[in-house]
Amino acid sequence: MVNGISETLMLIGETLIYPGAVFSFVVAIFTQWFRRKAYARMQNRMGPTYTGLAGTLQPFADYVKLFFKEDIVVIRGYAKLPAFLLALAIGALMAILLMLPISPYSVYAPYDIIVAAYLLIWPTLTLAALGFLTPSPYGALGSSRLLTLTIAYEVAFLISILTPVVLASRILGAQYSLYLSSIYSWLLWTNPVLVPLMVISLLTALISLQCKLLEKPFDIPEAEQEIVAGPFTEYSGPKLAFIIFIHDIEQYVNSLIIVFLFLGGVAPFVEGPLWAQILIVAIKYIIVVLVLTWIKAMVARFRVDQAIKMLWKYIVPLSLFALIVSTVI
Amino acid sequence: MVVLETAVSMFIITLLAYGLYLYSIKVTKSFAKESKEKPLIYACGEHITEKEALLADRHLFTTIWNEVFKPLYDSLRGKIHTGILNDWFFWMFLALIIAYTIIIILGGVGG
Amino acid sequence: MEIYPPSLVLAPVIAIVSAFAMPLIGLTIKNRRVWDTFALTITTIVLILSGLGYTLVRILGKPFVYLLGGWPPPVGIVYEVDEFAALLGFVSAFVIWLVTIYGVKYFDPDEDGVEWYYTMLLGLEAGVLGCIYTGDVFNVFVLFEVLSITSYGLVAFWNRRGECIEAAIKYSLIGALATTIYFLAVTFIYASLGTLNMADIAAKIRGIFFPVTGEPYGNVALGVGLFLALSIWAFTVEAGVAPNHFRVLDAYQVSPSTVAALLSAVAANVGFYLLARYLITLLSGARAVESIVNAGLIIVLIMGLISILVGSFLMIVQSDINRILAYSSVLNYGYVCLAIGLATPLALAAALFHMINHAIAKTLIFLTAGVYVKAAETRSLDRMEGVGRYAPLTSALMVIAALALAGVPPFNGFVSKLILYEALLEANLAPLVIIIILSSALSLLGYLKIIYHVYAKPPMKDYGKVEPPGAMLWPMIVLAALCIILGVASPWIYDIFIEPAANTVFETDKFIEVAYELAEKLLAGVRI
Repeated sequence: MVNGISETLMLIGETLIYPGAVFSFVVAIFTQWFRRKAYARMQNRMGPTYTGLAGTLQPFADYVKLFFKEDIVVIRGYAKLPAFLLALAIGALMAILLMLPISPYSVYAPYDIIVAAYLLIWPTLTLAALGFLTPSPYGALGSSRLLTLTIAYEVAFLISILTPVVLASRILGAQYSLYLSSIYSWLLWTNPVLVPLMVISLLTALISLQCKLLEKPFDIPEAEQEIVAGPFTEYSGPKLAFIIFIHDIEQYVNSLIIVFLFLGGVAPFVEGPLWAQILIVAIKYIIVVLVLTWIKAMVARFRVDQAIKMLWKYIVPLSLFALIVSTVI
Repeated sequence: MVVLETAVSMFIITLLAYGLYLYSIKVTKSFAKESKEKPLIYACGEHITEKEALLADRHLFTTIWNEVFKPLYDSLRGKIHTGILNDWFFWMFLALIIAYTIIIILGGVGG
Repeated sequence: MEIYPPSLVLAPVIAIVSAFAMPLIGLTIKNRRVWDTFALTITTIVLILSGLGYTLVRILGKPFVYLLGGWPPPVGIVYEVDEFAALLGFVSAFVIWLVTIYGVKYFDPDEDGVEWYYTMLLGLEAGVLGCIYTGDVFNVFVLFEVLSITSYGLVAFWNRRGECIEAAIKYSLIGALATTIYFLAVTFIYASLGTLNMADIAAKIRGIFFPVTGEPYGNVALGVGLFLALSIWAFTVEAGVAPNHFRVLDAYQVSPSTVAALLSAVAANVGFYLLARYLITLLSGARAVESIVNAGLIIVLIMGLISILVGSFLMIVQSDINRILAYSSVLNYGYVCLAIGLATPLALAAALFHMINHAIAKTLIFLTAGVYVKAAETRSLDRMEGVGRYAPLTSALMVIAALALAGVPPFNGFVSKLILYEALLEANLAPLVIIIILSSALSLLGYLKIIYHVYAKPPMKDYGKVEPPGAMLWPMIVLAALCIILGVASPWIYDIFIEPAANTVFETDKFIEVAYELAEKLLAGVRI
């Protein structure tokens, strides 16, 4: 319960400035720039160079451009409903930030990992709903592909992030809370028995996150050559800006969850100075983004049934194995 | 009460983002020209009618899903949910017998 | 102060008497309005009585026992109602009341045999409330029969349609088998414990003897084991838990929406209530049958899991709106069974809350589906595209119900699932959490399918006026409001209503004590 005016103000401040809207926007721009630059360099291209220092402001320019373009609503489509759903998805993603240790006043309660899990699924479902809200067959096809994939990778991702939470709760008493598990998770690496479990679930989490972000090899729902842009085909202007923003912010939030739950968060500097903690979290975050970009640059797209079979045959059982072992260990 | 706090935060951000969207369409209305291509459905370079642009239900979620889980569905729909009472009774009595056996064995009675 | 509020006992009695009176009224007065008014009046009275009864049980603070015929508890039939039963009875009466209001305009004015529909509906209400309120194992059998026979009649309501007849025959054959098997179960418990009274069964297994009662006979553990195995089977058939779920699918698919709503939301809860009552209140905690009860709980848990998987996997490949909802019912029964199988106070609270939430949301979605099916004259999703755009209010209510059933945050289904997750994590069963999340995601696909076809797809023909009249609309609005209220105000609802009610399931001592004291007093000649 929010007690008192000062805590309410604190909550609103966190929501609006740090780590909420303003800070997320900055990080989203940085992440998009970094990803584009790294991806381009891996393919021997230059990437963004024109706007700002080394093109750092290019994503910002893109956002501004999209934001002031005409919002075309196709016939028999919906104007306001998709925008509202997108706004809800952004809200859901930013709400997770409050549960992570990066916010100065984290909200947590026992078993809140389930709430976080629901909030994490929300944006994917919104993106899928977008496709169904247009009369375009590309939208509907892309959405049905997305939903079919969703079931596989959301399950895999949730199992993967549940493993450290279960371990931290059973061994370190984190009460199945995302915040407490994030704080204690680095201790799990000190126990040699748990390291294989952590490695397995880290791998499955990274792969399912790649799928969650609809990046290669899992960009099946928006495969340009087949179904234009899938669920997002009929969207333009501010809605497209929102969609791209959701993509960036999803990468930000999920990578942060991986940093805190698997990579130990502030690990070597648990007692250390604040600047060192911030630096180490930033470095770990960049490493996660870099690894995901590297996977993207390295592989080609799966066929849809290949992707689903791979997820159900290898990723889900592997992560489930880690989870089951972590509940009985 | 973590649900309440996250809900408040989600609500604020949602309002903010939706407000931004409303602001954007208000601003763009003032200088954008209404595009004329809106009423046309344009796919792969061809104009198609609205009826053609619709997807049948069986193409929606089930194609990929069905193909991936074909063995499962074949047995679930073809062997179990047949609509024939005899088949149903077979599975139901199987359940009864299993329940009975579990109770006898785990319960350690009858010895 | 001793008060014995008769209102709870009156509720099923009034319902059954008026059910028998209904055909007579139908014979003498050939006016549909009179029948409607009669059925509405009776269901309203029953609703008030059950609400009153719940309040009185709350005030009393312990289960209340009512003697039918004045015999002391183990000898005569008693009604023993604790808070769990009273709350469930009230919710059932409430849902039946709303469905009755909806049904008045749902059936066409020239529909044949509406008097029989009301007969069966009132009989069903008597069966449901009787099963929930009674404190006697054999009386459960009698009212179980009442409930089952009326539900066969309800499924066969459209008796000019072949599919309805087929579904009703299948439904009744399997149902008759279930009631017979339950009768067999009762004979086993009577043979080994020499009693049919619930409180007496619970007492005797724990070594407490009522003033007037017989000795246990033979191998009690074996008798109780057989009783449990057979009655678990019978109750899961009644509720429709996989693999005993086959009959409910056809029945929910073809019967009128009101009937499907009643069977799915109200009748199934009786099965879960009896499972929880027998497995937990009566038998668990007794040293003599501990391992048997644990085995029974494991069976219920596994059946719940099978139900969840079957329901969610088959739900998304259906293209018939009612059949999707039927599989979603099976899925939700799985959640309840899983929670009952865990048998912790938290899990029981989750089970009770989910029973209530499912009753509300499933009734709502079946009623909205009824509007579409009536307007489009088909149940196939492909051929009813866009019909929801002609009834925006109904569609909004349908979306609320679908989201509530899928467990999307502010709605009620989310809260009960959240409690179930907590119970599972508390019991260190994290992999099952994943199964529930998976099934929720799958079920959301199924509901999205309905929303997509009914609302998001552009309509291909003019359906005319689809939005139902006010008499059909406002029961749905009430249910949708409840979906939101139970979700948003869940911390308070949980503390005030759900948790105390769920805790009474575990209060076996109180359950025995109340009946015991009454028996002692009666034998001592105290007038009550």
